[in-house]
Amino acid sequence: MLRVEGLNAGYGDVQVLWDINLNVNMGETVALIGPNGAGKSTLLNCICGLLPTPKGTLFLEDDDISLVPGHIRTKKGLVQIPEGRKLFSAMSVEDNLSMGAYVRSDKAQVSEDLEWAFTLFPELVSLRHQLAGSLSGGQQQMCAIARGLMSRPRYLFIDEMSLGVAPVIVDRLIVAIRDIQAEAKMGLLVVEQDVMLALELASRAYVLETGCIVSHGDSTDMISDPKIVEAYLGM
Amino acid sequence: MTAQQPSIATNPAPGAKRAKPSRRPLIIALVLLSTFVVLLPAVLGGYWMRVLTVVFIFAIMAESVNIIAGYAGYNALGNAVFFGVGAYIVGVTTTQLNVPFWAALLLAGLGCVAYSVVIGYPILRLSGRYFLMATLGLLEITREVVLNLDITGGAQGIATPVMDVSPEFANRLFYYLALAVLATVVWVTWWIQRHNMGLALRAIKFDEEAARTMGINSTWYKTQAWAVSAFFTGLAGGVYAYFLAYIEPASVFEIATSVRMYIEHVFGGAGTVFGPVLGALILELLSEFVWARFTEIHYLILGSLVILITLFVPKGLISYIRKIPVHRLDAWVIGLFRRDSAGREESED
Amino acid sequence: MGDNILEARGVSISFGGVQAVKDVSFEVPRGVIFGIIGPNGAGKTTLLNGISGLVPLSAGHIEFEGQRISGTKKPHQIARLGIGRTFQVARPFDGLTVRENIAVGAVFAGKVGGRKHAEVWSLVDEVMEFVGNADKQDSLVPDLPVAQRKRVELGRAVAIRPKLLLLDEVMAGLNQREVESVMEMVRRIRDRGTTIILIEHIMKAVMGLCDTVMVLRSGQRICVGTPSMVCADDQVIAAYLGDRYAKRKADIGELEQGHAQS
Repeated sequence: MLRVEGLNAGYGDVQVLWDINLNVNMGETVALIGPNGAGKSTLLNCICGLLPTPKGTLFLEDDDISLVPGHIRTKKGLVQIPEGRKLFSAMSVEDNLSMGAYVRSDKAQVSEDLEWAFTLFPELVSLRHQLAGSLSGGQQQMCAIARGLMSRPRYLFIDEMSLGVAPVIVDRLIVAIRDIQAEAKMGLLVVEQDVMLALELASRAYVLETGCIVSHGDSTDMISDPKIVEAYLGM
Repeated sequence: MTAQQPSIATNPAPGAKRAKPSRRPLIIALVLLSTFVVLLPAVLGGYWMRVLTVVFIFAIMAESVNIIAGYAGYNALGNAVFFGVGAYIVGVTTTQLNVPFWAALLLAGLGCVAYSVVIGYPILRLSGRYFLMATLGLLEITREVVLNLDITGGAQGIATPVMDVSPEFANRLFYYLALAVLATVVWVTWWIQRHNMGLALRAIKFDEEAARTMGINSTWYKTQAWAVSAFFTGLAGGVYAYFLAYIEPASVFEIATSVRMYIEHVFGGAGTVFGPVLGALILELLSEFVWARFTEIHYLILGSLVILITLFVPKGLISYIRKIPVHRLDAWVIGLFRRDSAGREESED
Repeated sequence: MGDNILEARGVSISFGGVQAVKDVSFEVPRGVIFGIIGPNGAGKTTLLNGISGLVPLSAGHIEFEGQRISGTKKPHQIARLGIGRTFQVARPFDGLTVRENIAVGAVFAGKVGGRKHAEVWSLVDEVMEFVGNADKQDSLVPDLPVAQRKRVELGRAVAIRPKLLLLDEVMAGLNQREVESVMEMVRRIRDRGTTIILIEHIMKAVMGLCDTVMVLRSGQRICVGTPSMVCADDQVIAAYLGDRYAKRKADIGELEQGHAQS
């Protein structure tokens, strides 16, 4: 289990997150929803070690990794697929995927995983040698997810998967995510503005509003939780 | 509340709630300096008087470019164009049209104002670096035009009429003339600083769009600023034309001149009242010294100085001078001349 | 005109080949607090820029107190008519002190410029008390924290004594206490007779402050009404929470209605 306890963070003198408590179990898909500016990406960055967290603890299977730097966290299996993909646009799809495996030394497994990625996303096969920057939004998202998978994550964080992606492709991605979970059974945390998408993907959800968790529970219960609308719209 | 350094180059008179910082040290310094400068010709030889006259001319130009660059933030690196235009207006009108010198001088100033307003209409719309390049382009273009006109004498230049007076008189005349123009432009700068125009220009410098939404007609203020800058730079050119008795396009539309006066205003303190004068004084005197002693590597030294200035004194000398606790010095000096309240006597004759 | 301080009809604004605002119309009655909300990129700031005269309209017009201002008035003229504004990323004048910043507002558009210095500065002092900057009056802006910088900007706009005040995300980046403080200030500004148009992302603040709220999505107006109306509107829910969630809620709603009727 990945457990966040009492996390407080911010940028300079602006505090953005207050007392966050959150956990993700191995094999589970959890959603983090909330309006724009609530601090969802900030929270992910804290978990992945990209942002210093002056107060709070992060436990990975009962190990306190709060002070572990970001690049080591990746080696420990915490992988983020950032908002806006952030692909290496001047590199080919295949090179992007290889970059995903940068931290790994098991060459044989890496090429196996590469093939698995292409089985998951057959659309990428023909795009193998194309520059990542020339792909459409949906194709880029597939490439980004595949790249993330190449690190053999134990916990995967996907930030705003649906942004800039056509609805048809979003459905396609949902299927892919389910396949991934069935195969790899990792701990998956999905950050989404699109509430329905999040609740369809995840078994549990947390609602973040202006830096605080205001509600959480099973997805099926959350759908009718009025706190969600209140978090987004203020009443 | 700590006593404040009396500095002219800050906001207008503070509100009634706060005590006015003492201006006495500054006023005393100014009076002393002015007296010194005015009396100097009595002891200086002709050479140094002429050197100082040129220094004053550069000080005028540095102070002028300060208004459009230091205050308004429109960095007119090519502002020397008005120096050239002013020189040529005096040159042409006095030789071809027999206009008396004083009238020609006034025409030089006004002519430059007109030029800046007309050119400013398109050019002042440009932002930052584009404006800077445009002024450089203006300098080059104007020089070429003057070079190719007949009325200006083309590459031959113009020899201005020599005045029918003794050399000593002429030296003193130009010394005091340049000094008078310098005093005027400093006073104008001080006036701008103290009034709405100064506030408007500084707002424009820091954020023109926000300034406009605060009701500042930036076009109006920018045009005014450049016009004032052009006027005094033109006067400087006109004085120079007669002072040197000979002008040609290459020397009055010189880019080195333009860059020098720009750097001097930055070195002394862009956006302050006295900074540019200080900057010009120091750099021009230094340049004179270096040229006399180290003629071969003159430009090397000056160039290195420019680099050092940019690295170590980016805000200008005035910002460092302000940190000197003048009020303490002032109190000490006063203490030398009177009894203090405890009755102890300290005096010095 | 009636009692509307601002009227916009069919306003469209495009730049960079993108239509940022499409055919938006609305009226702002005098004395209200009018909120404009919408997801990112909805065109809210662009609309405000259109009102301030910083960007030209490609279609439609905007009238202030019955007088057309779009396309005919320059930004400084619009300011002098009595429209003040703040910016999304607070940008008070960097090299000026807090007092000087606020003085800019008072002097140029606030029409106190011609009068004696003493008047200007007493107005500035008053504004600084009001926004809570009095202890920082001689500080230079870059030395101030974000919350204070926002107050300087606000003070600068208030010093104009505007009839209409445009606030662009004036609460962004503030903590809860600061947000409440700003909300209180906004109410007091309104109570002194200024109409306010407010762009905000902090929904609780918007719903708590505004009399009327307009929602923009992708440059178009999708809803306008009281806060409770807007929060219950399907299109608004779709814009913020996603189309499918909105549809689901609507379906559930219909289902419940069906149950109630049978």
